[in-house]
This record gives sequence, C-alpha cells and structure tokens, in this order.
Amino acid sequence: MFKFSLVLFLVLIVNQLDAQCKRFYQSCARQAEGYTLVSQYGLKDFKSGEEASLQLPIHENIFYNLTLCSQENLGEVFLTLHDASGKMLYNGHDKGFSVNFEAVNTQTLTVKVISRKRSDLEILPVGCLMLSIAIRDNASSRSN
Amino acid sequence: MKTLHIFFIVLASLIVSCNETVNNEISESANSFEESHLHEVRKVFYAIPSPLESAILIYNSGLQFEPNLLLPTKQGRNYATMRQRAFALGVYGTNLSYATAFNKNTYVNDYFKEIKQLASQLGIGEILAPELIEEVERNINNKDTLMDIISKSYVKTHELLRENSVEELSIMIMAGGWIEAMYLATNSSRIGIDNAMFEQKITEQSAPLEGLIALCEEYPDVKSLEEIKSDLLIIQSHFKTIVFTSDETEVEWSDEDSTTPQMRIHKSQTAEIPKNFLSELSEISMKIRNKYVQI
Repeated sequence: MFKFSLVLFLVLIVNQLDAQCKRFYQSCARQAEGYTLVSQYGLKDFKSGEEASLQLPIHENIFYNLTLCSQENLGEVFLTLHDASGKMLYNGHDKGFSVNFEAVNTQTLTVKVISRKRSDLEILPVGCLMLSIAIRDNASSRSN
Repeated sequence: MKTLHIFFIVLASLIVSCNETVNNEISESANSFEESHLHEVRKVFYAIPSPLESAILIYNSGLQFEPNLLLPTKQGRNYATMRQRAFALGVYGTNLSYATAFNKNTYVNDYFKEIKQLASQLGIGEILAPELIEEVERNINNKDTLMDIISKSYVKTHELLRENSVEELSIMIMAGGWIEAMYLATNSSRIGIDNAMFEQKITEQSAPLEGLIALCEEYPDVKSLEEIKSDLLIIQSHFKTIVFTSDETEVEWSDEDSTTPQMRIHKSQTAEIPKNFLSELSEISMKIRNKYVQI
C-alpha cells in the first residue's frame, strides 16, 4: 500500500508538471510578425544554472527569428549563437528574448540556451522554457 | 499505513493546488545571480529543416516543378505499418510544401486530404481538423497563409507525437521529409541552372543529415530507426567524398541596440566535389526513398 501511495504521489506530481508546462507553452506561442513558425523545442524541467544546446542548420537567403520564452522563476535565461568552430556570434545576455538574422551562406550554428544560476535561493528553481524558430523567405532570391 | 497512504495523496493534492503560488513567490524574490559562467550542459537538440524550408530551398535554386516525381495521393492509405505511415507522412509533407512553394494549388487540396488520412492512422488526426481543411480551401490562392497552415500543422504533429511518447515516429517523419527533398532536388531536370552552384547547395545538406543520424542514435533500441539510420549512413558516406574548406564566420549588424537585433551571418565555404557526385546521389536517394514508399 505504501509503494502504491508513493507511486501515485510521483505520478500526480509529474502529471502536474507536464500540464503546467503545456499551459505555459500555449501562453508563449506568439509569433514574430512576418515570420512562419517552423519548430519549437520545449523543456519541461529546466533547472536554474543549466544549459541546453541546439544544432541548427541555417540556409542561405532565409531569414530566421529565434524566440525564447521561459518561466519567471528560472531567473535570467538567454541565448547565445556560435559557429561550428565555437566562435560566439551573438550573446543575448541583457538583449531581450528574440534575435533575427539572415544566413548569407548555409552553415550549422549552435544555439545555446543558458540559465544563470540563482545564488539567492537554497533550492534551485525548476521551470519550463520554449525556444521557437521561425523563418521568412527572401522571395527575391529565385533566379528565374 | 493507511494514514501514510492518505498523507501522500493529500500532499500531492496540496502541491498541485499550490504550485503556481510557489512559482510566483520565487519569481518575486531577490534577483541576484551567481556570476559563474559554468553551466551544466543538459541536452543537445538537433534541428532538421522543416519540409517548408526544404521546399523554399528547392524553389530558390531555380529548379522547375516536376509533378511526375511526387508520390501519388491515395497511396498513403495502403501502408500497413506505423513505420511506413510515418515515413509516408514525411514524404507527403514535403510534396505538399513543394507544390505550395511553386503555387501549384491543384495539388494542395489532395495532399492535405492524404496527410489527414495518414495522420488519423497514426493517431494524431486532430492536427487537421475539418475547420483547418476549410481554411485551406478558402486560402487556396494565398501562398503565405497556406505556408503558415502547413508549418503550424507540422509543428503540431511533432508536439503530439512527443506527448504520446512516440518520438521515433517523429524522427521517421523527419527522415521521410528530408529524403524526399533530396530525391526531388537531385532527380529534377537541371536544364538552365548553374550546375556548379547547385552542386554546392546540395553539399550543404551534409549538416542536417548529420543531425538526423544523431537523432536516430538517441533511440538505439528502436528497430525501425536502426534501418533508416543505416540508409542515412549510406548517404553520409557519399557526402564524405567531398572536401570542404571554409573561411571564418563574419557577422554584420543592423539595429544592434534594438530588442530584436538583425544580423547577417557570412561564411564562405568551398567544396571540392568528385565527378558524378550528383548523379550518384540522385540514384542513392531514389533507391532509398522508393524502398520505403513501395507497398
């Protein structure tokens, strides 16, 4: 009976976290004007102080918009962009949650989502975040 | 023991009801951060070009629309396994995006209907509700709206498959979509286009290919992904015959101080491409694509 109660307890907690993140993802499903959403990456148990990265192939003549949406309790969360050699191309610290760029040539970028560790709290907060990728075609690039 | 049982249930209920209040309290507390730049790397994700991105690339490369290359509609309903259905859904997604990018609206309705049928068989029929099909019909001549609907349906598809814990089907759809794009691009007539430049563009697909393989590797126990991975490795070994040289990446800014800065990312890359690379890739991609779509 004890094991059953413990399992039920854990299942309820996990379900609650899932439902909470689902509601959160819906609340941040805004789209940058003029862009078409092509993918979304949600993390439901992201911890303050953690980092996640995305290998993102970008294609020439396409404009990209990356938008980050994170729960307030996680504290400061920002994006950085790096090329294949690791060189940092963009640091989103203190620059808002969105970045627009155009790829002149095709290449793969590494997008890092970084959460600064909060030193004011004994128990590090865990929350949900979502990274959305939207594109806009440079229509003038069709050669014929 | 019964008391303990009740205690856990009550505790769970309390946590469920208090969760949002706790979060608000945390967010209102002091905003000081540890200045450490050391972070625990949690997970690496791989982005695979969506069918829409692939279709835009094909359209922008100057190729002509070739309807004879498309997978016929009504074939989708004959697939018996989930693996075949998922692969075909990826193929049809690319076909639909390809027809939309070229403004070939007569194909759009049929492909939407076929995708709806396949999605239902995969247990995610709600991605294309009747209202959405009506919206497609109302906007059949509006390329931007159609692209938006296609893209949102694609994002929703992967979201539902993740929620249903069948991510392997999500990977299968991505693989089907990417292989179909490669098949369409390399099997289209290249009359009137700069062949060297086109070849160069195709070589750039080695990065998403690497991502697809890495995604398959995340599920080593899934048999269907094992097979598609071995086929993707065949394509990768062909790409490995190319020698790449690239310059350092440069960034140019506009509106750097705005909240949404705009930048241009340059990196010139040259590829030493073996003779017959494209014709061989066209054969490989056709063989692999046909192996999965045959009934």
